Amino acid sequence: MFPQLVAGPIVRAKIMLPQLLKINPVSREGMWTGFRFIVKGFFKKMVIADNLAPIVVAAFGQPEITQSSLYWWGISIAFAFQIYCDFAGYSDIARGLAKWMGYEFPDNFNHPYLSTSLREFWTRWHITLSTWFRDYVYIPIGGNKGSKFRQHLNLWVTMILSGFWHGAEWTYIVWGALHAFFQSFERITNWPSYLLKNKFLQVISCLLVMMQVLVAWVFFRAESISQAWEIVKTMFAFTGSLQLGWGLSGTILISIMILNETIVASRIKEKIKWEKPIWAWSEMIFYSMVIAIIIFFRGEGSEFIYFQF
Amino acid sequence: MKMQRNIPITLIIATVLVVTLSFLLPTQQQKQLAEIFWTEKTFAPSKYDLILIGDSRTYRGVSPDEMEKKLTGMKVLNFAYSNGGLNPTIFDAAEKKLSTENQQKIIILGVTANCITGYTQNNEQFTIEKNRPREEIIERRYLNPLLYRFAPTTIDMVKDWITKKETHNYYSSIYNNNGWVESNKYPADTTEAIESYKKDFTSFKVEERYIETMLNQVNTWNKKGILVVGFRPPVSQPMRELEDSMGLYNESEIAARFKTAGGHWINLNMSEYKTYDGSHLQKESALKLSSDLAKQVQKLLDSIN
Repeated sequence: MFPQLVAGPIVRAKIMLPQLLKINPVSREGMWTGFRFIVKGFFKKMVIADNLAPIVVAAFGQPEITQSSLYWWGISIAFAFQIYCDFAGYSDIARGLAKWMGYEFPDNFNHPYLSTSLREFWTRWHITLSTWFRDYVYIPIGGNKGSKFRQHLNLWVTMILSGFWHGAEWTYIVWGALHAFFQSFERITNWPSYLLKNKFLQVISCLLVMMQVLVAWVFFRAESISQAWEIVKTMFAFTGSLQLGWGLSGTILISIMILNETIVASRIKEKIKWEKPIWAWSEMIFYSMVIAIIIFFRGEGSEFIYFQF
Repeated sequence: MKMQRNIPITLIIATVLVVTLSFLLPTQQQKQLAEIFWTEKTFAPSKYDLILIGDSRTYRGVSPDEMEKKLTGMKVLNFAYSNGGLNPTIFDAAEKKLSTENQQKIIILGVTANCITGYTQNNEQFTIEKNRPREEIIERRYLNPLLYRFAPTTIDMVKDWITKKETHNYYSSIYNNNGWVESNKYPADTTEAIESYKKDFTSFKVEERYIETMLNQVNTWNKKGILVVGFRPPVSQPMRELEDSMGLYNESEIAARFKTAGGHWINLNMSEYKTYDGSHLQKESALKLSSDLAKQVQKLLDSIN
C-alpha cells in the first residue's frame, strides 16, 4: 500500500481487504482529518524527533559516560520522545495519506507515556505490532492459558522475540527481556492496582511506568550492553551536576510534548464545542502555524528510526 | 451547523505566515548559499577570459568583480578550492572554463606552499563537488536559489534574535558571484592559523615533483598562447617565515623557474595586506589584492600588445 511505510502501521488483511473491494469517497471532513494527521506527523518527525536526535546522538556518542544521574535521566527522556515522535510521526503521515485515499488505517500509538501499567503501555505503543505479536506469537504458544509459570514463560518468549525483531543486537534482546521482567513483576505484585485509587496516585503510577520504560530505552539506544549498564548505574547513583543535558531547544521540545500529553490526559479537547466557527478558524490558524514551524524549525533530516528494523 | 475546516484556506494562511517569517527570522541561509556557491563555481560555463586557481587564500583573497572593474571587458572566474592542489585535475578543469571566443586567455595561479605539497594533491573539495549526484546538482543550482530563504532556524538563534543579543565575536563568509568568498573575523587573530600549518608542515613539505608538474603546465599553456601569471597570496610575516622554514617554500626560486617556464610572476609587498587569521585576507585587503593583480595583468597585456 502506498500510504503504508515499510515499518508500519501493520495493516491486517481482514481490515484492508474489505476496504479495497469498494471505492471509498472521501468527505471534506475526511480530507481535513487526513490533513491534520499529515501535519501532526511531519511536526512530530521533523521538529521534535529530528531536533532531539543530535542531543541524543551526542550523549550516547561520548567516549566516557558523563557522571551525572540527572543528565542521563534527561537524555533517556529525550530519547523516549525522539523515538516516539519519529515513529508516531510517520504512522500519522501514513494514516493521513490513507485517509485521503479513502482508507482507514488503525491507530498505532495512543499516548503510551500516559500508561499507568506496563500492560497498558503495550496496548498503546506500536499497537499494530503489539497486537500482531499477541495474535501470532503469544496466543499460539499458550498465552494466558496453563500454569502461572507457563504464562510468564510465554510473556518472556514474546517480549524477547519482539526485541529480536528490532535487530540482531544484544541491546535489543535485553530491552525485550527487561520489558518481560517488568511485566512479570507487575503481574506477580499487581502493584498498579494499588495506585489507581485517586488522580495523584495515578500520576505516581504513570511516573513509575515511565521510569521502567526509560531504563529499557537506555538498553535499546545504547551502543553496547556495557555502555547501557554504565548509564543505568549512573542514573541510579543520584550524583553529579543538576543539568538535564537538553539545552534550551531540548527543554522547549520536550515541554511541548509533555504539554501535548497533559492536554490529552486532561480531556480538555472533549469539552470544546468544535462546531462553532471560532474553533474552525482557530484550528485552521493553528495548523497554518504548525506548518510554518515545520518549515523553519525542521531539524537535520534523518531517516525514520524504525526503517532500520 | 458545523463549519467545515478548509485545507486551501489553511494553506493560504500558512503561505502568508511562511513568507512573512522568511523575511523576519534569522535562518541558517549561509549553508545553502555556500552549497549554491560551490556548485555554481564547479559547473560554471566556459565563458571566462581570466581564471584564478589555488586554495582558500585565493578564493578568499581575490574578487573577480573587483578585477573586472580594472580589466574592462574581461570576464573573471575565481576557480580556487579549499586545499586546492596545483595539479592536472584542476589545470584541465580550469582550462575548460576559458572562453573559446576571446583571443587573450589568462590563467592566474595563487601559488601557496600548501598547493604544492602532498596534502592537497587529491583536490578533495573540487572532486567532491565535481562528482556530486546529478539530482543534488540540480537541487543546488536551481532549487536552492529559490528556497534558501526558507532555510531552517534554531531555537537558540530565535532566542538571540528576540533578546537582541549582539555578538561581538563573528566570522563572516559572504559568498559572492564568480567564486570569491568575502571573509572577515572579529576580533582578528593573526596567529590563529599558525598552529594548524605547523602541524601540516610536520608531515607535508613543498615537493619538487609538484613544482615540476606545475611548471610543465605553465610551459604547456604558454605554448598554447595562454598568459600564465603566478603570485604568492599574501600572509602574515610569521606565517611566511613558517612556510619558508618548515614548509621549504622558496619563493625567489619558484618565481625564477616560473618565468623560465614561460610564465609571469607578480611580486607583492605582503606588509600592505592584512589577514584575519595569519593566512586569509580580510575583505578590504582582498579587494586591494584583486585591484593590484588586475593592474599588473593590465600592464602585462599592454606590454604584449
